[in-house]
Amino acid sequence: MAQLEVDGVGVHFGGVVALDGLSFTIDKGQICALIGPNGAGKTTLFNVISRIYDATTGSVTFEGHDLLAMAPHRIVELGVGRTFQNLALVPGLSVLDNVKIGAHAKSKGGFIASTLRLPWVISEEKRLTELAMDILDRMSLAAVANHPCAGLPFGTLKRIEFARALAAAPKLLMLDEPASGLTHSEVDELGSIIQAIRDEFDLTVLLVEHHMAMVMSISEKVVVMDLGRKIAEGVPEDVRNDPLVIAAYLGASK
Amino acid sequence: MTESTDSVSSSDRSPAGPSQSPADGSTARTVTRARRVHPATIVAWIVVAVVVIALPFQLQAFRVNQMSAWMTIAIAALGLNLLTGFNGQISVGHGALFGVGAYTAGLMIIKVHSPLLVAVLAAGVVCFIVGVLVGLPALRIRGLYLALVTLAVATLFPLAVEQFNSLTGGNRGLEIRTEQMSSRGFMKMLPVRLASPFEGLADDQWQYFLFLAATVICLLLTRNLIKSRVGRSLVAVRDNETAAAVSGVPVAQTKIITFGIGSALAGIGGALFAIDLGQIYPSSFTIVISIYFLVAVVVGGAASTVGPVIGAVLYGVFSDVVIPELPDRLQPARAVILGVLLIFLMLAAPGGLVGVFKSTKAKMTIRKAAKAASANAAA
Ligand SMILES: Nc1ncnc2c1ncn2[C@@H]1O[C@H](COP(=O)(O)OP(=O)(O)OP(=O)(O)O)[C@@H](O)[C@H]1O
Ligand SMILES: [Mg+2]
Repeated sequence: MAQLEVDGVGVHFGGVVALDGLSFTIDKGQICALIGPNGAGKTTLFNVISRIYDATTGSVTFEGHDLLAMAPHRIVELGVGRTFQNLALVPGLSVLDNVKIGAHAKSKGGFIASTLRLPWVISEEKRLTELAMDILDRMSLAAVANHPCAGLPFGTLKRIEFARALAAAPKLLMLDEPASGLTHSEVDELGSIIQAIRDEFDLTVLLVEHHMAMVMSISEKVVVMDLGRKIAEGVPEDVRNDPLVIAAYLGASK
Repeated sequence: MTESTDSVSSSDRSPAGPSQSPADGSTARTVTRARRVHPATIVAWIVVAVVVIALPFQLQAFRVNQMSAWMTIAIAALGLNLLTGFNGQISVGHGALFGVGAYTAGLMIIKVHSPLLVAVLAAGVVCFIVGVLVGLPALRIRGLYLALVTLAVATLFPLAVEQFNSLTGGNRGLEIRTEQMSSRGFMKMLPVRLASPFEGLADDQWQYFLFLAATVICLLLTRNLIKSRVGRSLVAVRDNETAAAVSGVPVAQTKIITFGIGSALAGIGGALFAIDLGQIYPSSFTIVISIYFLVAVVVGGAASTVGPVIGAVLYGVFSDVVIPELPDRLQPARAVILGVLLIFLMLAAPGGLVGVFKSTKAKMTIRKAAKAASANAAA
């Protein structure tokens, strides 16, 4: 059975139809790319899955859970992590704390225990610091750990978000244009990081990316969208040669 | 739907440039793992402790009482700072909660002769509940609109106290006298009889140390909270609710509980305030006192741990020590003087006094690093 099932999801903003009965599935462990021209509705789908937007129709099921019935903060608890196309970091926290907050759902310590600073709160905090530092190390971000987020380059901020998403130990990781703001060599590096992390943590990855070379080289499945609908789906080679896909991209590039 | 959920403040979005990170990742690591307290900080704290303990033995009783009052303000400001500074919920109604705490404790002491500690804690609990109720609209509204709701609460509170005058004494005030405030009275209440070192303290000194203990406890507890997992989530909710929610922070619940805790601290401060004055009136809890708290938070440094305490003390020094010393001619202009001072302070130090301290420290660190780097390069 598929791990994530998107079934007939529709979203509209006033007159704009952002998603129009979108359906697809992802199997556990897959790297699935979601591509399409600007405005196709890719980010909107992410926002539906994270419960930021309400879907008008359809359902999203993750490992048997009806995500659309969940409160937003429960989504990551169930194992769905994400990054944002235009960033959603916490400027008032250091890089390290931004990553630590990623593990919020997977850590304990409420108001009372934290106020009293019970011994297990201290050790939990230490565990979170270790965890976050390991991830930062891995993303070559350890040097900026104590830096405030503000003032860092866009590409670095995107990697910090990636690190934050990983801190939640997700089962499904949704990345919204992780390569934007990166240099060519950094994009290649990112591709191998995504693959390595998938293999090591047994992740499923839903990747939105305009960087076609990376998409085609690392994904096992590609879903192509245009105007809120799925227009093609399959392995990279098939999708690349699909006339509908070519038309959508040519039509969109003005 | 108007808000773009993918947004982050544009200041975060600098064009991609060369990485500004220091060359060596491992140094950052050691910095993180062992964040040592600077010896100067320890010395400073010891000096503060000595001064704070010595003062009541050096000053006249009325000054000691004034300082006790500053501490009650400091406790309430700690609560407001948690709410506004760290969680971003603006409240100009904190004076009302201070009042609820004052009247709760006053009535407990008068009507049921409850011990001081019980009365103060009860004020905290009652204000937590009231705070949660006042905070409920914060789920739907924020920013200026929330400020307006809390303004309404601040305005209504004195009227409500007058309304229920059979209980509160209305404009005649509520007199709170308890022999517990003398050291001997307090000792009598203890289950075991101790030959106490406190026995020799005058009432004003005794009260001062009691309040000092309360302030230190509240400061340490809020510091614990701020430096915890929950503290991070408060800042995340303040800065970016979307980021908070996708990280698993229950945004609404966090806001409401923070409103409750901020209010509980106001209530505890208010209870002590009532005990300090011995007599409270509805007019003690107008919007003016709410503004007093805001000034304390902003002057000390919003979203800093000790800032509100520093701010409350400074405001106290200004209004109780400096202002009375001014020549009579200037007395009518004291609000103007305060206002001008505040404007200057905010221009010079937008981060409050703690902000000045922090940026100086940061500058010194950078200078030190630069010096080390140039020394390295020379070698
Ligand atoms: N909050 C919103 N309010 C109104 N319209 C929106 C909102 N969010 C998205 N849209 C609209 O929905 C459509 C899909 O947008 P979406 O951001 O999902 O596209 P996308 O595929 O992510 O594009 P890109 O590749 O440019 O990121 C667009 O027409 C967009 O203008
Ligand atoms: Mg998008």
